[in-house]
Amino acid sequence: MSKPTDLVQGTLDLLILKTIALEPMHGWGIAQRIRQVSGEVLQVNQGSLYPALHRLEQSGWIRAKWGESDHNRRAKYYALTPAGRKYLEQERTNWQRLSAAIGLVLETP
Amino acid sequence: MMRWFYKISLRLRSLFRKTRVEKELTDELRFHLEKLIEGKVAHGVTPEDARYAALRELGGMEQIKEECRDMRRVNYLENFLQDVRYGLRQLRRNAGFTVVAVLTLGLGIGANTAIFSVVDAVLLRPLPYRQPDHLVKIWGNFAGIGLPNNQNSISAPEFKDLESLNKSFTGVAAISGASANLGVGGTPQRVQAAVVSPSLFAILGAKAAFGRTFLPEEGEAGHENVVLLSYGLWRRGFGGEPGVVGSRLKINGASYAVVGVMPAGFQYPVDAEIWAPLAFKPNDLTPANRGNHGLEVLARIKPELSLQQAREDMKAVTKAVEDQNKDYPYAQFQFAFTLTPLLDEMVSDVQTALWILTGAVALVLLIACANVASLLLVRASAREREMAVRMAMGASRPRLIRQMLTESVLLSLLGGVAGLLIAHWGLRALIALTASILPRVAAASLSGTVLVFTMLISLGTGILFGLAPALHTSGEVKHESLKGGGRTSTAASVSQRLRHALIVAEIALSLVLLNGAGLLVKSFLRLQEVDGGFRPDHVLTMSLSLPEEKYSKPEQVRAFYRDVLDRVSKLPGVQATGAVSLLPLSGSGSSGTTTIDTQAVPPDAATPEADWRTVTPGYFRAMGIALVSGRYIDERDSDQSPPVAVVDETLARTYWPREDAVGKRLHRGGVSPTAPWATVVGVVRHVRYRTLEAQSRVEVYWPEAQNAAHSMSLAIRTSSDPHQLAVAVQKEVAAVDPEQPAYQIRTMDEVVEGSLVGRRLAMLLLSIFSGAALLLAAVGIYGIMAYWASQRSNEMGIRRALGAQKGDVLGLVVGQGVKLTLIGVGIGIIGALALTRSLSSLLYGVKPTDPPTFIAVSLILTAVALVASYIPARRATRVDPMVALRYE
Repeated sequence: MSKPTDLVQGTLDLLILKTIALEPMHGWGIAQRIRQVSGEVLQVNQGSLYPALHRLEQSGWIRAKWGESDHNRRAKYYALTPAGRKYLEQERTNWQRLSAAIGLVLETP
Repeated sequence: MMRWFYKISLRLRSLFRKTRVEKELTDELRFHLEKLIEGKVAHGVTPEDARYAALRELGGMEQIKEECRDMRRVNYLENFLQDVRYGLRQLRRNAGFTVVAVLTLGLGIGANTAIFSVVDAVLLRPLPYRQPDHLVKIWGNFAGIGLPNNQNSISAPEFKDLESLNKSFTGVAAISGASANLGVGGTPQRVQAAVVSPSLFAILGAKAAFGRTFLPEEGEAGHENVVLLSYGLWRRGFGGEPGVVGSRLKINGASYAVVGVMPAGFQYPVDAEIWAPLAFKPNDLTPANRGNHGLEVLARIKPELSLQQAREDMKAVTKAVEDQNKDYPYAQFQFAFTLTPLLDEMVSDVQTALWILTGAVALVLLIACANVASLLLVRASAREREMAVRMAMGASRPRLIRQMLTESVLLSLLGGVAGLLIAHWGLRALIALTASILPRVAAASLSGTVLVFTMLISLGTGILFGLAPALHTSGEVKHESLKGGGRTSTAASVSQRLRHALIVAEIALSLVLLNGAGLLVKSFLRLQEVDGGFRPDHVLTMSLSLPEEKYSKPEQVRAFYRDVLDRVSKLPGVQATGAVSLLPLSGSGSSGTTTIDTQAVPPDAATPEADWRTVTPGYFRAMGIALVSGRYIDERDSDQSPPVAVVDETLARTYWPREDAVGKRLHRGGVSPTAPWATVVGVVRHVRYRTLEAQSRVEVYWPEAQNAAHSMSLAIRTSSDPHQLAVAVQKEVAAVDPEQPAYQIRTMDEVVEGSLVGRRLAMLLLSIFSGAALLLAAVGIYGIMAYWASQRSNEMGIRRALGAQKGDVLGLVVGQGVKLTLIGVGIGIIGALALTRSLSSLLYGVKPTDPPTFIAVSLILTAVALVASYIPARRATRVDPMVALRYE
């Protein structure tokens, strides 16, 4: 199984942070949301998703809490920490600057 | 802030609530899996198929888990502990392997630790004085005399020059050795004393434990007699009674006031136990005394100046002294004051030998490492399957390397512990062996520095010998390995090449070591054949030192020695007796400028620096110094008769070539001082007074009758074992003067032996180390060849079945061993050619590239390798072809 789109590590972090910025979500939900919002373009590989979540948690950007999911099942919900929110803003700016720059390069005839 | 707190609490949680964290991980992933299955079922897939599809999609549950664990960071610690536990279990399970490896490493690490303790104590530790790096010894270097006799002590007038002319020292002190006869507890005792400038203690930064050190005015002639005691002497001789300060002592028959006791551990010069202030008499400072070089001079360089700046300053002082003393042959001998840092001064003789031994033990450790590495490689091949399984189960490559390294480091740390035990014993033996030749070695111990060193080399060796097997094993997942069998896989040939490389390295390193040892042994044998100009067998010697206070007149001194020698010569078994101011090979002794009445050399070359010895008539016969022409000094030469001298053959040949030296004249001092001419009555063989390795200066013997010396050594030639006479001779000395102790009672053979002890030790240690290297290499070759043969037992079986004779199989295995050995020998010879040059200063009469030694060593090594591969080869021939064939 090849990955549909190779996500650069930093990019996946950014997507996860943005996705849970609205409300706490579990891993499955995050993967689904990214896929839906990106119009089925971005398929997050589970093999990278969970290590990324654990890394972000260990770095203190997000924190995990066990909560009730549908059908009374326990699931691990991830939410942004205040530090994580700042980090997201910073990374988003970085990303915009970077993509704008790449766009410029590509569109220059 | 919050973030860090959170991070730390997470780490702690993953460390201490490990099962909980693990369960959460499993739950989280299972939840994901279930969601995935649900999704598929909702699309109409059967639950069974959905499950398989989901698992496939997820791609290796265990791998994801392991990656998540890695994110926890504490994983390193956790894995490490796990690796340690696992490693220990592995080591316990392979007890035989573990014991062999730990012992091998223990020997290597132990030897390194012991030698390093000695190096640390002797070479590395600073001297126990204030700012010891600013302390220097000053020597008078007469380059014109040539090695090894060009370094001179300083004369009293020169010392005064140094004091007044230097611009770079905070102080200069002169030290003159002496001995004190001290009546302690009724029996006469000889105590090593030092007569020193009062400034010495300030220069060293030493204060008295109680009382005081010397006052400047006590260094002037005519001042009251005062002494300082060492802590040891104070405890031993005076029961540690503080009242001793201020009391009076009888030393050498005169009365001295004790002004202080030095603290425990204070030592300068080495062995001195009593100090008296040095005061120059007017006579000492006359121009005639300029050539009387007998003072050791110590100085402290000003704190703001470097050694280099002080050396520059010495050039100016040298120039000034030369200009002010045109009548002394400074210019002719290219004189210069030279500075040597005090530590270098103390250890220069042993420095090279110690560093070479350090290098040698390091090589032994390398060989030990190579041995253990090849053992590990053999084991690694056996564990290929285990590693393949681990990789398939999600272990990453770095993780496997870490685990293998943990195992090897565990092994080397155990080796380190064994090494410390071995070093503990080894160091004791080493200190006992070297106490007399290595300064400061008594302080060698397994100190903190040494423990850190041992720790570091243990870790280092663990990584060194573990790395090759670890990298090799974790190369790639070997699918064949998983399938079992795997004995014939190509990976095995990589590991085999590695093992062969290790063997080659071991042989090469052993060859370097053996060569070094061989060269030292040969030098030692050469040196023992050297004819020193005297016959050391059957000679008993002892030293006597008459106090000037009690024996103030030359007649008294003369009478004492005459009576003692008379009495001794009547003892049974005594063939000849005599006395000399300094025995051969026991120090540099006194020397001085001598003016020779000759036409054969230009006048400015006719005033050589000669070694002077004062002798009684019987000395030449007792010491076995052969007469070349004329006669020995004898009873006719008295204080009433004209002055005479005996010279050595070198002097005679140099200054009166093609002439008979007998009847010619010479006198002490330079041209102008008016010492009386002495007539040469005889020429004797040159005696190597300073070292056996080289010729000494030209030698002049003065008759004791015309030239009393208070300190003399007796030489007694006996017909039987000289040791047996020692007590009887001491009795005769006591009969003449009961207060006079005799000391340094040794046979002449022992004196010669003593002058070689440093060399003997270096040779012995290097031989032991290279023997150990040879043994390790032999074990290594045996192990590898045995493994090689067992791996190929089926091949052997096929060969035998196809008609190969036992001899063919034998030849195959032995041939393999010989091939490796020869490659190793070749590399070793190149290495030895490059390295044995560093031995040059320890060699005598042998070049560092001595072909016979190289050939002999190569042959020995090849022979040992042959035997080591013959044993497994013979076993290989015993393999029953049928058994070997069925084995596959």
